[in-house]
Amino acid sequence: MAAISLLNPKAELARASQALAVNISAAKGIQDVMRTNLGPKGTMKMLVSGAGDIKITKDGNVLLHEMQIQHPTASLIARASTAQDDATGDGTTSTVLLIGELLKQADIYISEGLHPRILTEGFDIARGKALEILESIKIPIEVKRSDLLDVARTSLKTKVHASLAEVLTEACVDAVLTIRTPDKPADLHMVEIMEMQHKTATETALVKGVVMDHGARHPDMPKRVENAYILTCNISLEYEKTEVNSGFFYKSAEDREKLIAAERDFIDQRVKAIVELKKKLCDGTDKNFVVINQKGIDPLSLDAFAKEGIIGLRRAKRRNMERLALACGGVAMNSVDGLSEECLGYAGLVYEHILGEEKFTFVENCKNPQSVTILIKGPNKHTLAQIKDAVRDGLRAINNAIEDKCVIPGAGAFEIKANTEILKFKDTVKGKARLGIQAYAEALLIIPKTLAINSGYDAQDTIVKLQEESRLSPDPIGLDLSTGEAIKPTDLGIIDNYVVKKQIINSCSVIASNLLLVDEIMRAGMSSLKG
Amino acid sequence: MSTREILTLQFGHYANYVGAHFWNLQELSFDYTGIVKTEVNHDILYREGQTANGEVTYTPRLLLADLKGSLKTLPESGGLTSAGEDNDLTWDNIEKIEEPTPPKNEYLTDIDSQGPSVLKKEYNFEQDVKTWTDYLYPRLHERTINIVKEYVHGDDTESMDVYHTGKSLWKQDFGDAFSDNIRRYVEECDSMQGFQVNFDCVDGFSGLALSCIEHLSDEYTKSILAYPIIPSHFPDNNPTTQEERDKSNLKDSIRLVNTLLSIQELSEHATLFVPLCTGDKGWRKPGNPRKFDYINYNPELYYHSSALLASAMDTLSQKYRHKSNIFTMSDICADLTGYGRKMASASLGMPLPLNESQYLIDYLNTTTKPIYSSITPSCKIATDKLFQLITVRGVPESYLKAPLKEAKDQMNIPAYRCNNVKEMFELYFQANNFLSATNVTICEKPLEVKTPYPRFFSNELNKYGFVRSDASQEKVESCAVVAGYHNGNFLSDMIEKLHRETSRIKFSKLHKFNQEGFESAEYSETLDKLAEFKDNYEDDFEL
Ligand SMILES: Nc1ncnc2c1ncn2[C@@H]1O[C@H](COP(=O)(O)OP(=O)(O)OP(=O)(O)O)[C@@H](O)[C@H]1O
Ligand SMILES: [Mg+2]
Repeated sequence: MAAISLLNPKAELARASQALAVNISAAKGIQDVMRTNLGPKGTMKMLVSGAGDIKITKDGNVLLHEMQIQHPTASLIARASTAQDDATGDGTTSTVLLIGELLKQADIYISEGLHPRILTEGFDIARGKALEILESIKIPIEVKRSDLLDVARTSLKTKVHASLAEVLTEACVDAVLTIRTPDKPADLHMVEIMEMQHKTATETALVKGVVMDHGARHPDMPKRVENAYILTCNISLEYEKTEVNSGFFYKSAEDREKLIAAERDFIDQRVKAIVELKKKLCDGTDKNFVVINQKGIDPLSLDAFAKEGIIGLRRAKRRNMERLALACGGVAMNSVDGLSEECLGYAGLVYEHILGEEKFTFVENCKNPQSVTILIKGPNKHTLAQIKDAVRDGLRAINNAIEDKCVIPGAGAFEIKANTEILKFKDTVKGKARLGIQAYAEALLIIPKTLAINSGYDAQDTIVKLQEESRLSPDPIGLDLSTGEAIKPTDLGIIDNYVVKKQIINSCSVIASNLLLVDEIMRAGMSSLKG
Repeated sequence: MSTREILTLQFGHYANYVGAHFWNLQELSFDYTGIVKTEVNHDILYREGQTANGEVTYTPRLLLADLKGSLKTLPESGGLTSAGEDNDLTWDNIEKIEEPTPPKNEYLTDIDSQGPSVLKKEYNFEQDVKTWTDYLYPRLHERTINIVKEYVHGDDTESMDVYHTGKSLWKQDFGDAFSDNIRRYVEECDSMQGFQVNFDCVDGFSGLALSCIEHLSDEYTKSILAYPIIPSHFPDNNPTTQEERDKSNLKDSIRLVNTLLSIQELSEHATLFVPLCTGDKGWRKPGNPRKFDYINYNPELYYHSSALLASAMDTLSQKYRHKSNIFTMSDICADLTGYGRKMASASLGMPLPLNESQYLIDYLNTTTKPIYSSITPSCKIATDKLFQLITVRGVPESYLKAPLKEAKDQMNIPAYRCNNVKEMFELYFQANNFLSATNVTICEKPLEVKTPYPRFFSNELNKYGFVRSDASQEKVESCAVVAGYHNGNFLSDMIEKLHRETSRIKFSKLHKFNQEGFESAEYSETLDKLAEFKDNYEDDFEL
């Protein structure tokens, strides 16, 4: 995929004689690539490889994966932000920006002769304070649709166009609310994201049930049934030739036929057991029967099913077995022994949808679906991939909020507030560590500054405006990107995850400190070499 | 009976070089006229489908893995559908970051613009081929190409060079996506016979392939035929400084340990496996190139050596790709793997150097050399106590023997009573291999060596690949080939060599393995298991 040549490590090394300088320039380099991404007004990046493969993204983490990061420092920062994504699914761009900014601020003091260790001590004190401030601005929430919509919408609008974000927001929140059992975060594995490539449509829908990427393999099977029993199973309905046709030892054609017949009979018995159950439960009623098998179903077995009007799907995904049981009820069977009505699930509607060579089977109208599917349609692979990434982020934002039982105001509100409070707090601290605290407070402003710049506003003006307003207001104040004015983010429903911010605060100061101290260690090493 | 499908899997750069030739051989032998009598059922390896625009496609039933940066001009989508930049998700500011488009070589440019009609032209592939896509003729299904994004092809600082890196990759998103692609192919098949897995066994792809093979044996009850492959050459093979020598030494050790792990694990999870290399040793260096009379190949060119292996694979697989559907992969596996001898060796004789004016009977009667060479590393194929499956292609029945009136001395040769090529080869192997069981398959069609197959043939050959008696000049278009699978006690010797060489490695010095959590104790356990596997080849058996 498209390589963004960040930095040439060798050239950088030659220019900067000291490790710190190298670290800072690396951090700046990666910051430069990422800064334009931040927020709903950031730039979307379209990466086109030499062979024409396209990747569209605005997500920091996706971008980091696509870039060829050669510089060790840059890759350390990249790894920190990837770890951020693994843990919370969000905040990677902010992480990169903040680490870069902490190093930049540190640079100013170090060039004036301050020892890095003193700065890192200050960082650590400030980090503690920042966490306190974060606690103070938490907004407790209930697991209510309205509360969750805001946090999902804020996240999605930073990844896809507002109109699409609106649709995805509802789909994501409803998905999580549908499958969730009270007092527990949802198991997001039970939300399948299914992609459909379709020339004209870009639409997304929540299917309260399961959508599979395959269909019946027999022309005579019904394409649509209502009121259906669902048998999920892991039983081979495929004749496997165990008898070997050796090149060395020949068997008579007759012997072979006999062996084949015996083997075949084995499979036929299984098919028969399923057909019997179907006859017992469905014949003479308006009920139907669907078999979804994790193993194979060969043409003869398909035939037998088709004759009975049974829909048979083979080679279902292992995870779908679990999903089907949760969506439709019933248990996945490993053998036909003990096959009975109790083992079966139920779906109000099962139908097939064909798109080119792709087939999809929808299992819908389930009674109490604990597994759902978000179906996304898009005109090409890269659009689908982009939407899929966004949906994943949205789902995790919702789940984070449920787990946290709280959210925080976005739009730079935390950073403005923390900047003011930490600067105040700094005055109560004695000694040089204050300088580190000051540097930390300044660095935080990179978030509202970048949000402003990406929307076309002047960074300094904006900060001044926000700081003034913040001093006057008891509530946290953030930036309205459409007007450039100060607002209460909660009024506009701009809501971020608490845990994401917490993780950013923790990991950034640790990584920045490590990079600064690596320099210290290196210098010690070099001077001992000289001496 | 319906088509017995095969799903082919390729892991690693060299395996993909072999694959590119293999699929070229398939696709360039397609007959669109309906006139040629074909012996092979192409549906076994190929699938019919449809693009998003409704065009019918016929593509290899194939999944392959390679590193980021290895595809050069081929898009990841396989080249059948264009990605299309149209995007109706409006976003105010989009920044486009484009990589420069690498230039296409002359051959690729020609097939883009003119289709297959250009095949008569001469190209400078020896110079032009920098990666396997540079001479790949077919276009691939959307799901075929699976790129490992974590590592960059040709990047020496962070390379995917140990077994366990591949294993852990499989546990991440890569394995998830790959196994789902397998499932989707298998779902399409009505009566699958099995999987063929070709992989580089010297680097991290070995672990990836083995994880996949383990998955296949857990999930599907189908035969798994695996070819662990050692490339013919490595860039570090000719060190000049001490530093380079040390580096190369270390790399040799790492490659050898990967090979050991591959073979040991294959003995547990594959149905049958056949190690391949055009070098005679394979380890610690690939060794001297195996000799093929009338072929001049450069082992340093993957483009050359991989063509030999592809030709062998194409010939060996004729037996279970025949239209008659009589034999399947599981038959082959069962025939060869008695006594737990899951590993077999392979051979190739190409071209089968009959003189154009010579009868087969005279050739077989007078030739003093074996008609094939081993293409299994560190393995000399014995002449007795063998189980072997031999495929001979492209020897016309008219070459069998002289008609009665002209037969003269031929009549004194016992083989004269043979009535066809099959009988004659059977007799030949009976006479040459003591205490052995040989099964011979004859295919009418020779190996067609159309562009972009390497032109590494001696100019003593005629158009049909037979040795010319006069001095005219002709371009070789096809040739007769013999290839075989061989199993027997002799393979214990190869395992012994592998065991000896790997026992000498100071494992604790291979930090890359330690870093991945693979420790000395496990290493010696692997060695013990290999020794146990070797026991399967020790007992004398009687036919
Ligand atoms: N409508 C909005 N108005 C103002 N600020 C917003 C708005 N929506 C989101 N933000 C702010 O944008 C920032 C998040 O931007 P973005 O999601 O692009 O980056 P990120 O979360 O740091 O990284 P990632 O790329 O991993 O998502 C947060 O600080 C958030 O408060
Ligand atoms: Mg975000």
